[in-house]
Amino acid sequence: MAPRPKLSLVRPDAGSGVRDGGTAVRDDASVARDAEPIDTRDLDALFRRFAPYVARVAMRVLGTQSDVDDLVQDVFLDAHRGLRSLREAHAVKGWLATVTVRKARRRLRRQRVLALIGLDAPLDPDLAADPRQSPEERALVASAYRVLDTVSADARIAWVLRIIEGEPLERVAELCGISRATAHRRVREAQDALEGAFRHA
Amino acid sequence: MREGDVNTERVARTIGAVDPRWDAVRTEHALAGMHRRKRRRRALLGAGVMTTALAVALILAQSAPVPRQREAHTSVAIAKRSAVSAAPRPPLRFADGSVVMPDALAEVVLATVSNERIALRLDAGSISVEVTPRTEREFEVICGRVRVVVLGTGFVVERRAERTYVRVLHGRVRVVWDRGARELGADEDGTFPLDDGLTAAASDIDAPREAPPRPRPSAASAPSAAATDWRPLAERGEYDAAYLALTARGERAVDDEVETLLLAADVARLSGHGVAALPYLERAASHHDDPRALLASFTRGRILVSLARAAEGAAEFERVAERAPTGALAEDALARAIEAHQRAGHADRSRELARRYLHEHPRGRWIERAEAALGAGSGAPAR
Repeated sequence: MAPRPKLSLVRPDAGSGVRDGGTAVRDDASVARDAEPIDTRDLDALFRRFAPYVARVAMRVLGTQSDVDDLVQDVFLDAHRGLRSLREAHAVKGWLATVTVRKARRRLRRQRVLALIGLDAPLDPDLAADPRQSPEERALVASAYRVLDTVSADARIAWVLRIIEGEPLERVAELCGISRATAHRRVREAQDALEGAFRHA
Repeated sequence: MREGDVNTERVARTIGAVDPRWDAVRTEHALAGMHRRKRRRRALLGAGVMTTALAVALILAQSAPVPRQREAHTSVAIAKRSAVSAAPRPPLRFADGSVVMPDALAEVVLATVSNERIALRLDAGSISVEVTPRTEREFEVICGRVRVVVLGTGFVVERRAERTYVRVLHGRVRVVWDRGARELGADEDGTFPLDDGLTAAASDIDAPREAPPRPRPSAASAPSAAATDWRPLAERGEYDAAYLALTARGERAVDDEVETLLLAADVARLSGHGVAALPYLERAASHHDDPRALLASFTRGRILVSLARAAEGAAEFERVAERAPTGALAEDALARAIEAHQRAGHADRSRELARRYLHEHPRGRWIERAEAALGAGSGAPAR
């Protein structure tokens, strides 16, 4: 058995079990790789390297697979200009996360407005269709996103970034363009809704 | 800790463990989509500039003869129409939860809706479809001569001139045309109908071993195709036309640059000529100092497996995993090598690689496949 990678960033209160590729648990190699210089003029190479990260964040925020390809493409097309001035992988990743959050928020809000006036249905939480999970786990994921549909888009995003992605509160605030206190309040809003719904689950 | 915290921690852990189902293949597909959208944006910008210019010309030409004004009006109308057609389109949703997402250029007609059957006709562009499985109702997409019958859930259909590209995201579909049918599973794709003697799919479907590639254009069309540069056509996504031009110009049309070789391979693959893509990919894969060589090798492996040349495909995947064991493609390559060896009947090698996969990727995306391979033929449950 290979030695277990040394963990350098683990959110102490989470134990969220984020798997390889997640940000909550990162090994030294991943941290070192993020500090590497990077050629930001090569959009294809950037896409191949960071699209899985952008897709993962988008999927977890939206709770669906169906809009993700589209959103990933949108993010890279819009982020490209801003990326040219960056030189390190972690800065690129940060900028892409900012654009992803902005676009996902816009998409969630538009979807809710359309649903409100009867022009569209809410996004289906098809993340619950992961065949590797048990029926009970799938039902849990679907229920969680149904609860997250009842809180504001901002609270949902803050909760996903903090609790699922394991980002520090400061980083959540930065990504959402809000203060640390507001970020904390939003995470709490979503957390309260979920606790209320799952207390007797 | 409050009682609710325990439950929400479980929720967070469960969501965190959901497989995003985003692999190297999906990355490449999305990348191609991004380039298409980039070109469309440019075209839209061009149309906007042209519309403005024509509007200015119209104002300036108030005193000009009538026929010129009519011509300008027509051009403005065309420019406006193309601007409108490239706007984002809302998804089409059904009461049972099924969703159809058209791209900006899609022309979709709801041909039949009944309790027994939903049929959509795709006249242009592409759609992504997520179908809620219902055994009592058939769901199909009709695209030219091809019918895509849903057996599972999510897939993409794209109209490409006279042919139809189908990619399955998850679940299964059956593609039916006048002279044949194929079933595609998750992560498989292909362009249909398949050519006579030439199997088109750049996918993992089982297909007969192909004859050597034949140039497609007729003698009559060859001279004009030869005069056309295939690259601009390929960059615009017109793969059928690009393939005609490419084959007409022969070997000299493709220099030894990795980028050109990959583009030529895309043209062959996406126009439905998987075999013809192989030599280009082999040449690209031989540029060991270029990081794209691995992608070329990986794609070559996929095509070989789709052509029922599983042993060769397995060797190609193993090469990718060996050359960059910590690279982005390594995990997928190892998983595909396991499957390819299984298909080739190399059970021992497949199990050996499955053990290696589980050791190297204890939280990997393809654990189930590896465990299945490990259990296959041994009569014992995996691990």
